[in-house]
Amino acid sequence: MIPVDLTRPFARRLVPLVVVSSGLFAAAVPAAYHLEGRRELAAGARISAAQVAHLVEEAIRAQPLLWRYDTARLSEHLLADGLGNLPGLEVHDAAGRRVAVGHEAAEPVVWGRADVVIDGHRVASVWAADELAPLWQSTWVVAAFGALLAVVLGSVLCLYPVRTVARAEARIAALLAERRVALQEEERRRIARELHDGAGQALTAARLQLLALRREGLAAPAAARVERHLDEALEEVRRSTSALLPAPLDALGLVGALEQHCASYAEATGVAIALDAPSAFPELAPALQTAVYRIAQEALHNTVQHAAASRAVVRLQADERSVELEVDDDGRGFGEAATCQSIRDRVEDLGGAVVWPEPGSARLRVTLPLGGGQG
Amino acid sequence: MRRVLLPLLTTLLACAGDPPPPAPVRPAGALAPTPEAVVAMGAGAATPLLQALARAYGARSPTLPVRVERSVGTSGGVAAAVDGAMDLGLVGRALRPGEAPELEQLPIALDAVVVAASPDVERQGLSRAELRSLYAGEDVRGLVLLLRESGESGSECLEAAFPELLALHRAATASGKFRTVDYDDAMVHALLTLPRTAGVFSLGEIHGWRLPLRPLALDGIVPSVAAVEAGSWPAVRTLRVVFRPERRARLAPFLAFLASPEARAVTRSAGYAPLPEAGR
Repeated sequence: MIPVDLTRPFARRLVPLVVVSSGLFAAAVPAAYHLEGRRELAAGARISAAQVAHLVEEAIRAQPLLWRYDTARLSEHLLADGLGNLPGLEVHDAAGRRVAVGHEAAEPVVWGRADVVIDGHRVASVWAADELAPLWQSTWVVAAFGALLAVVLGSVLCLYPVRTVARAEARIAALLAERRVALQEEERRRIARELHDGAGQALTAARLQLLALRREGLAAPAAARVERHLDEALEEVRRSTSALLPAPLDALGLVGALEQHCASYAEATGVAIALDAPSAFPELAPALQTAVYRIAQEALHNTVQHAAASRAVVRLQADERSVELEVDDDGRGFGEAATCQSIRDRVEDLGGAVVWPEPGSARLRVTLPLGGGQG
Repeated sequence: MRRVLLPLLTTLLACAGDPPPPAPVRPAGALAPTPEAVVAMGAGAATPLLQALARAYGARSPTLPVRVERSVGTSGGVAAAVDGAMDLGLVGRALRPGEAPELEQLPIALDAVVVAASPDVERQGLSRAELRSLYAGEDVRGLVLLLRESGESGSECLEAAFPELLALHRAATASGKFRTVDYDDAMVHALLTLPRTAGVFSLGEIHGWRLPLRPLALDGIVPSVAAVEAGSWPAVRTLRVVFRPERRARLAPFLAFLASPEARAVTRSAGYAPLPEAGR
């Protein structure tokens, strides 16, 4: 597979971002909850202070100077109005002296203040408190849930984009592989054309001139050898041109193209070549078809060139995940030197695996994933 | 930036609540006295007595009449006298050690502390054992005891006379099964509105306010001024007035009146026992 290193750099940048964001979320949720709770407590404390201030105002109107000493009656009124159990309550007169009603808050509280104003003058101030402890308890519960939610969200925010990028990376790698195959095919077509139009035409012209010379009486044995060499060179050019030409995959499909190649190559080389492929072979991606075709072509070429085989077989099969190509013959095999770099490159480009022939054997097995080169 | 910061700051301030109350200010000195009258205030048990004495004193056309405010309890009276918010604090119990040492105190009368029953109660008295049962929350012919807060002068006096009641009172308060009232007016209201109830109260107040409450006899002794004077009533408290020494000159005419035979007669007719001559 062509390396397209996108996922890891993306993950390296994304993970710290998500960790920080999740941490902020985990901290912000309980903080917002706590602040809102404190705001409500403060509002409640101010309401309680205002209610107490109302009672204090009544007491002051009844005894303008001596109200602050009639605390038993004021306490009774507080109890009657449901204000007797405030976590903290302090009443100060206009001079700032504490009136002996209520009690100081023992635990952390939120205070609310209300002034008693009569005829435009502040005659007393009331502080009422509400407890913070229950809010802290519920804040810890919210913090625990927030942390849990942050972990889940963080995981989703990490995994989903990373998996998406990983899929895109695989897709890009496949597109690159397909593009490479297309470029290779184009290059082969260009070389074949140059061979045919250049070396082939020149050799043909040389042979025609040699024939003309022989018709004019040139019968030297050397001319016959030259003609034989020219024929061999022309045959080699034709074979190379044929091998380099684009595979007839579009017209015949992979199995049809391989059948045609096996038949023509058997006829050209004298090696009996059989193709073993299921009749209903699935349609593969273009790049994958081209790769399988070229690998089979290259393997058969090695068989003919190096293995001195008299018969060969090409087996082709596929399942839901991969396609497998096996080329075997009855020759002496070919060594490591014959392990074609082009086969290796094609298999790597498509993320496949190749089992090279063992010494003395010519069995080559290539497995390519169906995802490779998927267009 | 300001559009963001200002609301944020406002929200944070709202969340913080208001600043806590500052340390209370201690008065630098006594307040100035009320110019037009001597003002008295304090224990409910002494309030009707002082009102009767003030009326009698006022009939003499003094330059400085005496005005009695409504009851605020002994502690309130002492605190007001310490502050100089008024002249005479009315006290229904002996001042505790260290309590308002700057005040002078003067005993003025004796008051019988009684168990007063609501008007619908037919029985005339209780035995000491029945009184204990009432404090223990046991059924005494359907009678329900109303408690005063601990430290209240009347309850303290009764519990000094019957020491076993002190622990029972504490246990009853802790049990939460008893109704507790915090001042004399509330006790009167409860006794007059709740059927078959009884509570510790002042005989002088019952007489002075002409309340339709029934002071119950204890072990056959009927509470009365005569019983107090004879020393047969077991729970008697001394009522006092307290005042700042610098007010003594201002109070002198009224204090002199309190020692007069006329004041003793007024005291007796108000339902209180004058102090024995030797006790003054």
